[in-house]
Amino acid sequence: MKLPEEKFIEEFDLIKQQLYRFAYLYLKSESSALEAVDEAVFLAYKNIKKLKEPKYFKTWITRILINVCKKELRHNKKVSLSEELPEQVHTDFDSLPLKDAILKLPEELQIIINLRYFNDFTLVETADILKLPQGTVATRQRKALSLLRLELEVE
Amino acid sequence: MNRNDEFLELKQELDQTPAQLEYIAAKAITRAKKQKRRSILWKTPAISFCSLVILFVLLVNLFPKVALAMSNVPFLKNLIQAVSFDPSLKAAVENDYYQTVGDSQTQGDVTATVESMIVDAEYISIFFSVDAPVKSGLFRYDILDSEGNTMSGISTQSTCMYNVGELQKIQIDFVDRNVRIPDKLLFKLTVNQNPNFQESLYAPRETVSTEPADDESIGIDFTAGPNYDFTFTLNPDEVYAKTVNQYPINQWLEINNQRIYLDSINIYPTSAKLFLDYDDNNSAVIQNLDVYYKDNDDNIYGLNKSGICMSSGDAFDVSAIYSESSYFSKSDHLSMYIYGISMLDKVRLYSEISYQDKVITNIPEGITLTRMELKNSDLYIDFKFKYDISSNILQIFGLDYYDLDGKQYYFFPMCVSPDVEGNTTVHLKIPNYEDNKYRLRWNYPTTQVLDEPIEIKIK
Repeated sequence: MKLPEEKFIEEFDLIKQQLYRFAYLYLKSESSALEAVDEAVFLAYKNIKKLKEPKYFKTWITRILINVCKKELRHNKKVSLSEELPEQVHTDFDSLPLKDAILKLPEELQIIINLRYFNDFTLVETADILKLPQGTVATRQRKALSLLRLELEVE
Repeated sequence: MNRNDEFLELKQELDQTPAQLEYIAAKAITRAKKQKRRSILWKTPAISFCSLVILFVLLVNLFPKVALAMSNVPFLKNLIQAVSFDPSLKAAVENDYYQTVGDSQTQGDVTATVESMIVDAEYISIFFSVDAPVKSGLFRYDILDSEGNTMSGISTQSTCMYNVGELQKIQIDFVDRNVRIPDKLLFKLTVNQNPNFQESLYAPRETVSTEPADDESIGIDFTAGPNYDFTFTLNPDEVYAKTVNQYPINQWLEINNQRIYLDSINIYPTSAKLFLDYDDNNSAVIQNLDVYYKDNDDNIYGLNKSGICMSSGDAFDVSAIYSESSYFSKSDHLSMYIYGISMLDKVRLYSEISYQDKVITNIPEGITLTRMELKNSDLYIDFKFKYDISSNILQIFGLDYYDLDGKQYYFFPMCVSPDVEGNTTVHLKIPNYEDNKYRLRWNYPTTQVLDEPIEIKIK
């Protein structure tokens, strides 16, 4: 179906902060996050006819954004070359501050935490975005929360 | 603080979003519409198949670059992909503004190919690929003049990572206005082929000391695996090397009682550069202006990743601000909007360091002195501050410091160790410290978003 431009912008405005938050947590950079959101909106508008119903707009554009972020990460993977930014290695999640611990999670768990707890997607929406069974999402979510020692609501 | 409290604090921190998010939808939709208009031209049923064939033949024969572009579709696809995250370079390629090179050299089992360049009066972007029996590795390069001497007046990176099969981009910035883009230069490339490079990327690193070391030769290991040297001769097209549109502004502006002179703007195909000057009587140093540009088609051009160019000497006001380019815009009108400013009070620009009194004067708000220790006549200093995403300032003071006679020294190397929450510690060392003798210069401005953006008409 074809969403009118005004409606497209209206729908986007409702979720733009969520989209930015997701991209920022994924790409760890403000400029990369803005570019990723820009590219996702561009692709979404170009392919708007593929959207089945307006009510799926949020999950649909989030899926596009995830693919854009993955592509950007692959494209821009660089060695940290600055002698001014030495990294310290920790292997124990418990001893890490939360943001660092999240970054150390395997990608498939990071995405779940990002979507569920920083962007308030429901379990059903998350499963739909990632094209996974709800049970798989629930299992990964439990594992991530356990590693992070977070006691948050498990749907 | 327990884990859940950390979570709530992190979530709150992520609620801050940059101002550019407000106009992202308009910008992306405009871009999508433009692309659609271009493709509709070919799909309209009014053009018959025969007419299309004739048009194709004419294009190929009258415009060789079209033929080249069409015959090298994979090359063009790679180039488009390599510039996809840079709106200015992307617009350049979409408007056929690039110069093909197609120079390949092989040594051993490594082939390096310079495929193309994008040249204007300020930049050269070189696109090359590496083919080797590894997935990725390191490369370093140098830019030499036609005599083989290192070029001055340019700014480049020196070491990067390549992925086999992907087009790599390096950019040469001719920052010195007195240095013109030559009609011939040498691109000297060294490719390191380390079969264990991929593993080394993900291997745990040893904990690194946060004490600034004496050894200045901190670098990347090019000794693991063989190195292959290539030298390419590049001939930037003279026509491209002169390409710039210049617009005088010649306007004074006053923001927060500071007078700023908007001198002019140069719009290159690959970026825009706004030149600024200031009233000597200003009470603050202007470290940045947040600007964007908009044309009559509602295209928006934001800040370039390159950022800003700072003056040197006694003045530390920003002298030039880089933005995305509107060069290929079809609109006859362009306006600039200033929506934020970063300033530093001049009377608080410098600090004096006294170990005896355990004091460093004029420390900006938000920065804390956490260590001052004399060890074997060397003074070790630590500052702590919160890294601010919006200002993106990690280097909170100048790399140089001075004694009271004005003699200049350099903090090098300097260690910066941020933690996950953005709490950052900077570790400095002043060797052979003598008390009450040194001062350092701050680079930690206050940033303010204006209530209403200031509009300046450019054309």
